[in-house]
Amino acid sequence: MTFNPTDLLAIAPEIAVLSLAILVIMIEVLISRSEEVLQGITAIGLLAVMAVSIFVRSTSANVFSGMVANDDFTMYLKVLLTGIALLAILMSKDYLKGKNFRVGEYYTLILLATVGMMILASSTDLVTMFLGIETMSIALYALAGFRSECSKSNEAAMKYFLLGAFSTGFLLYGIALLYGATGGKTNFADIGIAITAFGGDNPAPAYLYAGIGLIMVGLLFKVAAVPFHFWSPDVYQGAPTPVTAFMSAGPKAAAIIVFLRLFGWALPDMSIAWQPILGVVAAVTMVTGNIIALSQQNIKRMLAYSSISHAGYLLLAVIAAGTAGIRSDAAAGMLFYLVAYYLMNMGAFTVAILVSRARLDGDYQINNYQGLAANHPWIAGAMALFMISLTGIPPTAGFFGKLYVFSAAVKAGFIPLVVIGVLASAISAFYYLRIVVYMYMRPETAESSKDLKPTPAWKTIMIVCSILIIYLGVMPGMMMKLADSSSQKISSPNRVVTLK
Amino acid sequence: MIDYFPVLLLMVIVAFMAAALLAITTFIGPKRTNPDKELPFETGNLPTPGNARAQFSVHYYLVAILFVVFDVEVAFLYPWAVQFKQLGLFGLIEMLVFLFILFIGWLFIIRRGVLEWK
Repeated sequence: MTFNPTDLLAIAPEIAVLSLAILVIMIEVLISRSEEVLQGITAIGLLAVMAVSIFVRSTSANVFSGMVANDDFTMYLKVLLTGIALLAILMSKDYLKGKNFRVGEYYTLILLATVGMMILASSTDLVTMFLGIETMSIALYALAGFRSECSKSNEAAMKYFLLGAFSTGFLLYGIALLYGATGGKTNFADIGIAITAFGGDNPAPAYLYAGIGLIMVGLLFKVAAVPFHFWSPDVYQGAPTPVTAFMSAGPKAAAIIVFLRLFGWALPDMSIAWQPILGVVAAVTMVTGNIIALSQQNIKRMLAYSSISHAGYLLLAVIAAGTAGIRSDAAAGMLFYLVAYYLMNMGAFTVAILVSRARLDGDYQINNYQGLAANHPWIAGAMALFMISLTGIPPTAGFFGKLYVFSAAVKAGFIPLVVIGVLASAISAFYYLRIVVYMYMRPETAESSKDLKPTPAWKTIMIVCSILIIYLGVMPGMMMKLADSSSQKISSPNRVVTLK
Repeated sequence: MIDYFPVLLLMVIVAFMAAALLAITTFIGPKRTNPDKELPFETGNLPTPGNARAQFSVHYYLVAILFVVFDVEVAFLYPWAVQFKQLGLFGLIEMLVFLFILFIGWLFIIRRGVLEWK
């Protein structure tokens, strides 16, 4: 354990976001409680963090004794996570108006959750992984209950906190067992090496399997995969909508990435044990998420179930990563998918906020979308694009995301799973396109002819998301190249992966 | 093993002394009770009336959790103080960063008025 000052450069984005969080909370309590000032500082700060993530690099390959990854893949993830926070903050701008929220605390919590997500996405050690998960989750528990006057929001925070704390227990127990089974290793690379020693006369101890299973439970809870998904619809519905958008994109991305790193890079030699289990979980997640989403009348709940099913598609990439030779394909596919998913989900939630705000009771019923296209052709068009992209129909980013993830799974030989995935996407077309049908083919109502008054911030989000979705859908080449080249270089331990 | 015999002896003597003292005071000590003396001891407060599952202010929890935070801060300071010379300048800077972040938290608490008892 030696400390090298240049190691700090590798976590410069995390340090920058943390400093920004402290700055924002201090400005709120000491200088100004103006929403514009706090929002401006947070947004500009996050743009600076993006620049820091791209340009400030450490040359050291072994940062903090290998506890944190320092490679292009991690850099893209940090940019992506900062982007998620940035859009969430932009989305919150007008949402918070007149809600009597403490804006500074709200932005600070989003920033702190982002720090946790960044640590999580760059962790290559069980300790940093746990640290990241906790930093992220604690901030999210508070954010879920931010509408303290609303009982649904309190319910969301309570459910999320109790179940989240419980799942953390599973994760921690799994980490302890893995630590014991590998002879005191916490580093992903070291765990991988320790596991290669098992086999033949020296079989892996039973508690190694138990440890892997328990870690799997903890992480599956964080990505909201069936059967650990029960918290997600209630929490998504109760949380303030920008927070829901943030939660559905950020923590899911961070958790699935650490899932990929841990299982693909540390435990590939155990893939005989975990691939079938994860395969069943992925299949059940894709099917259940999509089927329950069919009957939802509330758009936030519908998007919650949709995000459950998207976790299932993402799990396909994790499963594929367990097969030698497919790892970097799977990682690249996942990176592309995460970008696409983030854009379409953020866009869809923005439209959801707009539509619900125009109503007096501010509810999120799907009926509110009836005849939206007649008065708001642009908003309806954007929503239709997000829905088509979520379904995975070309030419949208969602199509290529699914294509790359599914093709990695096919290459790894999981053809039945891919068939289930494609069939599940076909089911999902029903509820995604139902919204399009409502908007374009139903007569308008008194409610839907009201002016939605999109503010510049919301317009910006919708325009940026739409343009990028179409861009990635028509010309996915550049993004795919970035994802590919960065996935090739995921800092890998100095060892040869042997196929058993 | 024999090295620990004195410890065992001490434990036996202590147990005997405790039991003996309790027994002696119980049997030969005078008993003058009144209702106040019979109350359960709750750190000087009046005991919680009736069912212990009564509602009380959430403020207690806030103060308690803040106590834990700063208590843990001090717990982290001890090992640093013991190893002060070995950790050197790097340790000092590291600790100052840690204290600074907690100081910000303290400032936040004060400005929010969390510690004002209404």
